Amino acid sequence: MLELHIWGPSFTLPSISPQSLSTIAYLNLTQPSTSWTLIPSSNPLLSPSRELPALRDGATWASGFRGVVEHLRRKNGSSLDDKLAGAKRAEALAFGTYIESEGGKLLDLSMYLTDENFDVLRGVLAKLLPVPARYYFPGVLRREARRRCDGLISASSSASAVDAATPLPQASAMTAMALPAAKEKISAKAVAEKIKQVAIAANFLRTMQSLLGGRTYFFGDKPSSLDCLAAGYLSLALYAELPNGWLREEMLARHHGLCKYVDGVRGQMLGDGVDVAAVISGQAAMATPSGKIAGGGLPWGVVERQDVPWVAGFFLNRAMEIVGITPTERYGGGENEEERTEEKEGRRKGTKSLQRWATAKNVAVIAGCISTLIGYCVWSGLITMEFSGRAKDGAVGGVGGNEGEDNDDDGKDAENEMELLEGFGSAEAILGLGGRGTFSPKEEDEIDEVIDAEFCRGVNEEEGRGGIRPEK
Amino acid sequence: MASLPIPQFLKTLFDSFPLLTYPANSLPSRCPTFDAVPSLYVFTTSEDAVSGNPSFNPGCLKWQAYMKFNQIEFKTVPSNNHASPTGALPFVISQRRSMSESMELAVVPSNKLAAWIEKHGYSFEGMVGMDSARAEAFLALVNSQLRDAWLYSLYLEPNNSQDLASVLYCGSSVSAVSSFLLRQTKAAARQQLLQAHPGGVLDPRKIYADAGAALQAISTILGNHMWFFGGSNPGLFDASVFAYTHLILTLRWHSEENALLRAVMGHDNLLGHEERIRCEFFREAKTPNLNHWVWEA
Repeated sequence: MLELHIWGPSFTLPSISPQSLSTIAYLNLTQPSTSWTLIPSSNPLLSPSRELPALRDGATWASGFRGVVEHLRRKNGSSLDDKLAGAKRAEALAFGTYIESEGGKLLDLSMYLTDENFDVLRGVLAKLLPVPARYYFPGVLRREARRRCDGLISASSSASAVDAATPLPQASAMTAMALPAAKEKISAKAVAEKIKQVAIAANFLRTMQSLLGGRTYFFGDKPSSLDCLAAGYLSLALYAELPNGWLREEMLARHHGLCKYVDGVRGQMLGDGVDVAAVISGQAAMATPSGKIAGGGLPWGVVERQDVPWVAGFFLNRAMEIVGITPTERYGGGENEEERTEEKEGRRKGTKSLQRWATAKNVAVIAGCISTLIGYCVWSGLITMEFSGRAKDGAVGGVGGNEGEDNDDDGKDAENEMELLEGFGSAEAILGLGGRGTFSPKEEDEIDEVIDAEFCRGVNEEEGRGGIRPEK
Repeated sequence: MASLPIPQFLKTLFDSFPLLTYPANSLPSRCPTFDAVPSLYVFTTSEDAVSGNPSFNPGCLKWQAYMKFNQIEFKTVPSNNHASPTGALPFVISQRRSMSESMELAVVPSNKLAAWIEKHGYSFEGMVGMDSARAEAFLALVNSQLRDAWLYSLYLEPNNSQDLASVLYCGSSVSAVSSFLLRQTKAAARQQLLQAHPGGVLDPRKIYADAGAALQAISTILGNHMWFFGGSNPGLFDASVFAYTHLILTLRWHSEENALLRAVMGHDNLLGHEERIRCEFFREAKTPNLNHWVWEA
């Protein structure tokens, strides 16, 4: 039995992530519905690559659309694209990648980086996730989206971007006259942003439209892997009901062919309308009042809600990220044990020693630099060592009558330095504590008394006069 | 902000030192001179810059090749990211007048280069309809799969990053500095790769397999044609593919970390495509020393 773990359902679609939708479409087309279940677990930490969608086949995991397709091709010896000729198969891969990168960016822009839409999306995601993750994960997803769209669009979107870019006029200038102008500026920027977004969307949709032409599927009358990707990405663009629906409007207004295509393939690939609440509560087989099946004809399974391991895994993960252990190093080569031949082991050792050598060299260089610097400072007299320090202070002390002044200065720090006073020759000299060695024993006692008095005064001042009085 | 009244004694003090403006210093002699030929700022070595050899950065080489295809006369200048106004290479400074006449420099950043080349170059007939859609899709293939594999093998394979990336991009005479720079570059490369792998797990076999599939598709679409998409002249897509294939073939990869090289070697028509462009546009470029590598295993 195959288990397909996905991000949970939303907007009457079986999933909220386009990759998950595409994978559902692929399984729906290639596997009989008795051989797989769909589990809306919404937990990317399940699979070793920590991505969703992830297909579990016994003990092996395959993740991502391409990973799943590749796994099924190896397992069944056939795939959807087998019937395509060489050039068409190349095109299927190229346009598939194009949808994943460009279409993915469009969805990121529309769902995560448009502020109004993200507020709605946050609520949708919250229904899918357990408690601590529900506050954290939407932000993570948004950060990822922003990273992917880096350079495509200025900052997040409309108003917040303006706030950051142009500081608002100063308070004195915030008169009734200035306000409308500022507002106009913001709306002008928002309009410009929208024009840019729509231009990107139109470019993508036009390309897809020109490839589709008037056909039922992209390559003739049989669906291919490209159709799965197109259905996944375009259906989310078309059916997600968001407050700022520029992407949806653009599709509906100017690309009827694509809308018709998505409407046509939806039932076959993604099931017809999914009742989100019923699926999440595990009642996918129930009939809705309107007579339809809540699960939309998809083989829904039950989520094993393992909130404790989920959350524990999540925190462990964060901790490891903070410490600096990246998951690559943990999972990197370890998946296929049989590939770990001795040769590879030797190579890994060689690499390790190489890195160790480089690190050692750097440490040596840095240590050398620091010691040279210190050496230079001492040599040039920037830091006076004990010999000169003692001599100078000795001279001062020798004149006499200066101890009081010296110790007055030190009194402020006396609390801290009391413990240091014993036997810290050079430190004393550097801090200007007065050369104890040069005084006669009697003088030293006097100084000690003065210091004691100072110390107690400092303590009392700090403790608000509640402290112990010195016993004199 | 309301200005405070200046105290009288300060005023008299400042008045007794009249402000004197010295004439501006002349620019140092090593300052670049801008003549009629536009300059393309790329990652390259100073020797290669003089002879116009290919840059060692695929992003730069793409535009360098495309400008040559369009018969634009230009010179290459070795540079790095910090010199660029947008923070990314390449960029072009085109200046028809000398520096003294006008302080304005016409800087063309990389994202505006296509339009600039179209305007200044010898214009070929553009691609229409289906071909431009296909070019765009295959460009996505190059920019995601092939680029990811390139980044991984150059920056994240331990030996390659030590021997190639650090020499090419982080050349500093102090080893501590260059190793710090290398660390930064590697982090940036990882960051780029994680865009496509949001889980944070990079599996080299998967990355190389994807790149292999991408090269297979690119090779299929080239077929027996001279240039991609049956054009009579090389276009931007040819430049993008050449930028990767040429560098993959000429860099001296560590012998155990050359999966990408082996993937390219498997496609004879891509080798031929690389050679055609190299012989026609980069006569003095390094020829890939394939005998050294060919199936030494």
